[in-house]
Formats: sequence, structure tokens, C-alpha cells
Amino acid sequence: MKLGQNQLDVIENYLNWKELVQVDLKNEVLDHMANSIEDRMEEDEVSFSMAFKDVVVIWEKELSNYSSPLIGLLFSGPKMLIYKCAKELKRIYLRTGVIALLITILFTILSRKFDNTLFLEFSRNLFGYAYFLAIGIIVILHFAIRRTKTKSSFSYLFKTQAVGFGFFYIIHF
Amino acid sequence: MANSKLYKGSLNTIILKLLDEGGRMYGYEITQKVKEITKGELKITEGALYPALHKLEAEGLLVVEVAKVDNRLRKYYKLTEQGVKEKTNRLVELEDFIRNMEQLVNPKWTIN
Repeated sequence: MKLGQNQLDVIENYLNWKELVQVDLKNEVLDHMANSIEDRMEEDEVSFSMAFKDVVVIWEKELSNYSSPLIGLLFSGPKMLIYKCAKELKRIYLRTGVIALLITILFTILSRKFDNTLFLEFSRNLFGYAYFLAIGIIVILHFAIRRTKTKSSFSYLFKTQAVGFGFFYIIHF
Repeated sequence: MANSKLYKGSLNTIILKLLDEGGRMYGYEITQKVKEITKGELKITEGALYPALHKLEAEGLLVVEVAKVDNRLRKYYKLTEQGVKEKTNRLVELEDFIRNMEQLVNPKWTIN
């Protein structure tokens, strides 16, 4: 028994209410819930609302409100979304951590080879320019993401992490 | 199956194996296939399945295809070339693990 558009809308409204609005996750969960409801309606011969209630209970834990210290405790959302973003963030931190370590080692070696004061000034200017370039890219990306009007788990990650990056350099001084 | 924790470490290998056999599959299909093969003994929960699929996708072992089916978007997963190689490696590891467990649980005693 295939679900009609009205029934699919009921599931979608439920997911929107749970704040699972990111297309990459929402479409997947919606399809899973719809399949599960269709099977229940056919096998157990129950109504849509009965099957929907059963399926909502199964998904309750995954869609419950959740936050992660890695993303920031001020930000919360469905557990499924936060979990995915936290994992992605861990990968990003690991990658950038390794790159930062390599740059630090390189600059330490170079600072010993060249005049220390001049080199420090040069490296500070270089990092300053690189930082403002990164801020510029973030601002462009921010407007590009806003223009698409599509929310994804990556746009959520961007929204929660980009502002922090903006203050990073200011705090440094 | 009362203790699904025993399967937890093998979930990624199970997914890779199913996708290797079934070509492209979507999330719900994977849960139903596992249920069918194990005659309902093993039920993959939604909370375990999707993080595993997303992790394998991020590692480049799976690729995603989206298609419109029954008025909704369906996300299909299939193995990449790297995924096929990784499946073989992980299956060998799993088979070794099962053999070792069997030795531990049912040791065959020999007199030297």
C-alpha cells in the first residue's frame, strides 16, 4: 500500500517540527519512515495514523533534541544531525590540526635560519593576510549558501562554526 | 537477538557485503534484508544504520544516487571501487575473527 501525498506531508511536517529540515537527512528519514509505515499498514492491517504513531516511537530517540560540546553547547538539534556534524567536525579538526602542526614546524625551522625579528614580522603579516582572505571566503560562502535556500547538514555546520572562526583572530590579539 | 552489541563491530562489514551483492540499496532495504537473512534474529536499528552509512560515504567507500520513487526522494548507496577492495579486506578480517572466536568457544583438544 503506497502512501498518498497528504500522508507524506504528515511525515514531512513531523520532521519539520522535530527540526530535521536538512535535505540530505530529511529525505532519507522521510523515505525510511514512509516505507516502514507502508509495510505496517499492509502486514498488520492498521490505519495510517496507527502505523505513523508506532514509527514515530521508533524514531523518537534519533530525533530527540541533542547538543555536542564539539559543535557548541549553545547549538542544539535532532540527535541524528548533531551526531553527523560532530563526526564531520572531528575529521576537519584532525586534518587542520595536522596541517597546523606541519606549518608550525616549518616556521620554527625557518625562524632559526633567518633573522628572528624580521621573520616574526613577516610571518605575522602573512598569517594576517591569509586570515582576512579566509574571512572574505567565509562571507562569500555565507551569502552563496543563503541564496540556495536549501538547508543541509553542511550548511548547519557552516552556520555554527563560521562565526567562531571570525572571532578567532581577534581573540588572538 | 538479545545482545545486538555482539554485531556492532561488524555492522560496516555487513553493509559492505550486502551492497556488494545487491548493487545499490537504500537504508530501509538494508534493514529488511538483514532481517530476512537472519530470520528476524538481527534487527539493525535506525540509530546504528545511518551513522554507519554516512561514515562509509565520508570515507569514500560508498557513493550516493538519489531517485524519485513513489512521490518521494530515495537515497541509494552503492560501493565505490575503493569500497569493493575494502569489502574484501574487511570480510577476511571478519572471517578470521569468527574462526578465532570459534576456537575460543569450542576448543578442539588434541593429545600430543
